[in-house]
Amino acid sequence: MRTPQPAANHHMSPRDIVSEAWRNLTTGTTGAAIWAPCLALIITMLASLDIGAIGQLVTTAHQWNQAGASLLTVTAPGHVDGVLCDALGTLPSIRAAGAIRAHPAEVRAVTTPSSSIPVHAVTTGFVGARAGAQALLPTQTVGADPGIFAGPEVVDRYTLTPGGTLGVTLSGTFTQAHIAGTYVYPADGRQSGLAYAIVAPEPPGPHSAPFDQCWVDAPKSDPNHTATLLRSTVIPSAGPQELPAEVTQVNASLGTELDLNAFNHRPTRLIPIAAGVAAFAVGWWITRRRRLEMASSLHAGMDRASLVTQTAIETGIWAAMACMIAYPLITLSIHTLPAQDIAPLTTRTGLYILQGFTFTLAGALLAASTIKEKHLFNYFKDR
Amino acid sequence: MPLELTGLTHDFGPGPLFTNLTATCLPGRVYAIMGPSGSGKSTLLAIAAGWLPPTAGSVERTGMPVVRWAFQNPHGLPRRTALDHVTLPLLTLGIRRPHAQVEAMALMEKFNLSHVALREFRALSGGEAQRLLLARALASRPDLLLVDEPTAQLDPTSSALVATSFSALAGTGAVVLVATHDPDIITACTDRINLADFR
Repeated sequence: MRTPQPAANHHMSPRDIVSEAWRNLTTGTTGAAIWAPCLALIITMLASLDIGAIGQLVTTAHQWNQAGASLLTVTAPGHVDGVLCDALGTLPSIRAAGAIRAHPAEVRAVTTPSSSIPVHAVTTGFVGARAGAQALLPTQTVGADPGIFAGPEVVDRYTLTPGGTLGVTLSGTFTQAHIAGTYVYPADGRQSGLAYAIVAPEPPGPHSAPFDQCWVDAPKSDPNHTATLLRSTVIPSAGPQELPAEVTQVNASLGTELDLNAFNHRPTRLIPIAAGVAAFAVGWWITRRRRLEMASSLHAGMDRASLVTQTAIETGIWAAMACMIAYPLITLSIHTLPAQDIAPLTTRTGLYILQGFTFTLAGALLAASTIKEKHLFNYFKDR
Repeated sequence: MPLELTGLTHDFGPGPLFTNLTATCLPGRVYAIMGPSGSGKSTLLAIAAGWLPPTAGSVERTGMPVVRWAFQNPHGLPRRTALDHVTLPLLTLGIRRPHAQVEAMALMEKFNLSHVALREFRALSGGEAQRLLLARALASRPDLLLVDEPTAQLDPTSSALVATSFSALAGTGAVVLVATHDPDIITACTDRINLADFR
C-alpha cells in the first residue's frame, strides 16, 4: 500500500518561495552579478543617448532665450500703447512684455560731462518693476526701489551697483539718480542701443505718452501669432495711410525661429521604445536560458504560480540592482548641464529607470510563464 | 490504478520503433524496458509520461497524478547544494524547510549521498549526480517513476542501492518503468517489456 501523502495541489509557502529565490541569488544561480551590470550598461547607454540629445535641445533653447532670440518687437515710433503692451505680459503665451521709447532728456554723468548717456523710458513691465511681472531682460535689483536701470556698459564705466546712485546732470541740472537695478544686454548679435543706456520705468496710464516699440518674450509661441498680438498694441494713425508697424527679432543671429517640435523630431525619439524592447528582451532571454532549471523545478513539483513568483523576486532584485547602478551614471552626465535643465532631465532619467525595471520584469515573467516540463525531454532527446 | 499502454506504435520516419505495444503495468511492480540502443526505450518512457504523443495507440494513467522522470544525463542547478535539490520537491508538498531537509537527508542516506549533501551540484561526480536526481524524483513520492539508464555511470554497489530503491518505491504502490541495458537491474525488476517483441 502507498504511504499516506499530503493532499494534492500543494503550493510552496511564500516563505519557501522567497527562501528559494534568495538562495538562487546568493549562490549565483540567477547570474545577478553578471546580468545586473549588463542591464545597467544597456539602460545607461540608451538613456544617455536620448537624454544627451534632449539636453542638447534644452541647451539650445536656453541659449536661444539667453540671447534674447525669443524677444520680438513691433516698431511704430510714437504709436505704441504702453498699457496694451504691458497687458500682453499677462497672456499665457507671453512670458514678459513692455514698451520702450527714446527719452528726449540729455543725461551726462558728472564724472564724464562730455559724453551723454542715452535714456529710454520704459513701461514697468519692461524691467519687471510691476508686481507679478517678469522682466524682459535679466535684471538685478535690491528690493523694489524706484529709480533707473543701468545697462551693462554704463555699469562697467561708472562701476554701478543696484541700490547705488549716479551723479548726473539732467538737461543741465545736477541730480543723484538712484540705481534701482541693472540689466543684462550683452553684445551677442542683438539690436544695439541698450548696452550703453539707462532705462527709466514709468507706470503706464491712460494719459501716458505713447511708446516707440513694444517688446514681448514669447519663447513657446508661434511667431506669427505673437506678431499679431504685437501689432494690436499699435495705435492706429489718424490719417488715411496705414502706419508701418514692423515686427522684428531683437537677436536674429541664432535664426528666426526655434523649432518647438524639435523634441518630437529628435533623432533619438525612438530610443525610449528601443530601451523598453531591450529591457524586455534581456528579461526574457536571461530567464529563457534557465529554462532547463525551471522545467526541472516544475518537474520536481513546483507549481507555475510559485515558479513565476520566484522568478519575479529574483528578477526584481537583480533588475533593481541594475537600476541602482544605472541611475547615478545617467544623472552624472546630466549634472554637466545648466542647473535649470537638470530637473526635467532627472525626471526623464527616472522614467527610463522605471521603464527598464518594468520591462525586464515583464520579459522575465512572460518567459517563466511559458516554460514547460516538456522542455526537459526535448533537451535530453536532442543531446 | 494500473498504467495501460494499448496498441502503441511510434514511427520517427525511417520505420516504426515499435508497433502495437500493449502492456498493463500494475502498481507495486518494477518493469524493465529492454532493447538495444535506438530501439525506442526513452521514447516509450516519454509516451508513458504524456510528453510525446504516440503515432498510434493510447496511454491510460488514471490515478497517477505524480509522474517523475530520472534522466540518463543528470541536470541540476550547478551552484545549489545536493541537499537543496532533494529538499525542493518536499517543499512543494507543503513540508516546511527544516522538516523537508531532515527527510531529504534520510533519502540521500539511502543512496549513500549524505557525505555530499552540502556540496554544490557542479562538484558531484556523474554517478553521484545520477543518484541524487533519482533521490529527488523519489522525494516527490511519484505514482509513476520513469527511469532512463539509471546505472550507466554507477559502480555495482551504487547500482544495487538504486535497484533496492525501485523495489522500495514499488512497495508503496507506485509503478516503476526502467529503461536499461544493465543485466543486474533487469534481474532486479519484477517484469520485463522487451521492445524487440514489438517491431
